[in-house]
Amino acid sequence: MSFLRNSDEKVVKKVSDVNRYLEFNLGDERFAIPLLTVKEVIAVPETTKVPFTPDYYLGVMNLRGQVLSVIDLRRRMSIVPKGVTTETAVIITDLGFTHLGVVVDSINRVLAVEGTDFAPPPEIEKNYKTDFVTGCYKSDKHLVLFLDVNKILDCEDKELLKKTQETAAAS
Amino acid sequence: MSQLFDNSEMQQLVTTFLTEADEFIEDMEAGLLALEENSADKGLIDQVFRAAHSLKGSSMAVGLTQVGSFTHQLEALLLEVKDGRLAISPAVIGTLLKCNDHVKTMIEGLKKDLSATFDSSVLIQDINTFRSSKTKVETPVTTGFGFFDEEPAAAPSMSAHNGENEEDGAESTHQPNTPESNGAKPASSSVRSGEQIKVSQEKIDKLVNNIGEMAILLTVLEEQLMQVAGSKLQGTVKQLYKISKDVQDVSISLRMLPVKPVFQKLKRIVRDVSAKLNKKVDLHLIGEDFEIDKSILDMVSDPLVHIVRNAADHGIETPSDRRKAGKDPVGQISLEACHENGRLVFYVIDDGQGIDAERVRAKAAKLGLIDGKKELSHDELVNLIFHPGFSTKDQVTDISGRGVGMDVVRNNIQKMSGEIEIKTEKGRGSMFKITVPQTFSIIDGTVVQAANQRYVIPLADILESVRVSEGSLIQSSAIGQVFTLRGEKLPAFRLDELFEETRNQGAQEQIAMIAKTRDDTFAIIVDEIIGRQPIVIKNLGTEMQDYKEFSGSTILGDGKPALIIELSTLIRRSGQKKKLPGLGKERMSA
Repeated sequence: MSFLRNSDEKVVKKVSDVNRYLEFNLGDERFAIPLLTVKEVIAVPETTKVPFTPDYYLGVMNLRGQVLSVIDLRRRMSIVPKGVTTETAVIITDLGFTHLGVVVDSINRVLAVEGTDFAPPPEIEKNYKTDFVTGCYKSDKHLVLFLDVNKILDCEDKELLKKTQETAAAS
Repeated sequence: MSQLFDNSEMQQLVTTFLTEADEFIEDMEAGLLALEENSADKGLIDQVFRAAHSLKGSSMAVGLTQVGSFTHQLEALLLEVKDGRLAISPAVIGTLLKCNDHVKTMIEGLKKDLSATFDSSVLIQDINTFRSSKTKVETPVTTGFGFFDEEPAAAPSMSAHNGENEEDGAESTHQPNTPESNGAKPASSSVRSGEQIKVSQEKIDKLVNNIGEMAILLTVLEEQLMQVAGSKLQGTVKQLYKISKDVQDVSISLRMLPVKPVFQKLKRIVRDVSAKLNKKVDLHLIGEDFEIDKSILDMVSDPLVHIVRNAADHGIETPSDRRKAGKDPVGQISLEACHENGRLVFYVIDDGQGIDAERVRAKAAKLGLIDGKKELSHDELVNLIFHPGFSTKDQVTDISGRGVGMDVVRNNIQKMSGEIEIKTEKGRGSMFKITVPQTFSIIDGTVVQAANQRYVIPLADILESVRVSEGSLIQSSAIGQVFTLRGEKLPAFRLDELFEETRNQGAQEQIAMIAKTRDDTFAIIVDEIIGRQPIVIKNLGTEMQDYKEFSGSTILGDGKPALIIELSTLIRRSGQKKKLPGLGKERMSA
């Protein structure tokens, strides 16, 4: 019984929410993340640098009394940033375990994606991990890549782990 | 049992019961311990009985029949006591306490796994032994209580209320008519005095955060108002500011809990230890109403348990030894909480045998911790007990320690930036002094500037701050920077270099902050000290948890975040880096 009910709920969710994405630009390239993970969008705040962090880690900001990390997705993806314009924004994402600010060049629109519009990411041989790209949007003349912010952090964590291991080995 | 959990409402009720049960268990334990001392106090019996009764009713109502049927037995035994058919003796209290422990075990077990099963047969047997033996004690009520020479007056007052009680008792056992039996929410609040609301810690933290932010905004507002001279607004903002200060204080106090439950736990431990070792110990609890941040209370609890248990186990001698030493056969342990310089201090004092410095020396020498011939002062010797792997009792007991001892205690205390001190005199007793901050959410901090950015250093880490005068800071190629303070040479670290930042050339003069961590004293060189102020601590996100150089962050008066530096980790990091080049690494792999 309960099993049935659970799966019903999932169906309902899919229709209403899961397939809405927020599309944004990094440089001239387009990306999108699930709208459900977006808490709010704010102008670029003042940040405080944190020593020892990788270059795409901008620092910490004050969001109404909460201290949040802000990362620059453009640097993370090696995309040449446009520089701060009036369009530049920070998306506050809710990753469940933490909130994170993500700098993007511009916010474009909300995409309602039907299941059939969703395609797996084109497989391109790369010597670095790209599994934070979950798919791409077919029904558009542009290339829009869907991102999993959690996975982007995963890579960061792994780097960190590597770094701490190196330090440990050295001591 | 499993069919109960099909519907989530029931599950909710079970969860609620399991959290509420802790309180009943605590109440019962406190009541039983007090009852042992003061067996004539009818109120105490009622308290214990009420707790047991609520436990029984609620557990039955939510379908936890194991707990229900066991507490039913427990309640039956309590009823015998309550009605004066069974005299209160240490043995009875002992069994009741064990039963209470068993209930606790069951509740804890059920919290982890709702389908867990428990074996209560031994305890039920114990209960039945008492219940069947009661007839012997029963006879005229007076003899039952005459048992206790100290309380001769108890009997009449007991019997006077007896009739009334019997009625109560009968009613509650035979027809648990209260809402519990209808499967409704356990009716705990109606029984308890001093109404309270349970609020999740998350909500409180959020409130504290928001209020902190409000206070910062008000500071900004006040600054901005300075430019609008003569405005009536200024007065209003001032008032608002005052009120917000009050609100902030209240919000912080929400996280504060009295130390009483921990003290209660210690009382039980002393009782058990002394009963087991046939020692007589009076435990004096002073200041159990002092309040302390919940997370600190959780952290200070284990060290206190360890020290108090040690005092009862190793400190206090057996009655015969005490007599030989010309002491009162009853040992005294006092546990006191009080304020000193804005911090909370716990004193654990016993009049036992104290710590034998020479035995400590012998043991430490044997373990290779010290050079046996080296001159060491009494204090230095005694402080060796905090050395990792040190435990003087050659025989490992199940009561205290297995070599993980005082070093863990000290580490735990230092982790919350507390301190532990010991004073002891052979044959006279020992005194432990534990100092902890009262709250984690606000600390006193120094805001400093280095590499054009502001950082916070906890004031507790800093011994003093001095201006760097000409020639006092010397760069040595061999060992790094050295700072001379009153003739003493200290290792020095520039904060900007520690952070791998370029040095701010513009800074005219520098300040050396003399810092003390567990192992070292050193100087931290900063560009400027901006001020000392209370720092509202904001946690960093989980993505930052690997950066142990920062214990947290705060928001400064201008609304910008600043990082709180964990000096000991930061210094260690720089130490690791210096060891990096070549040799060491190669030798390790060879």
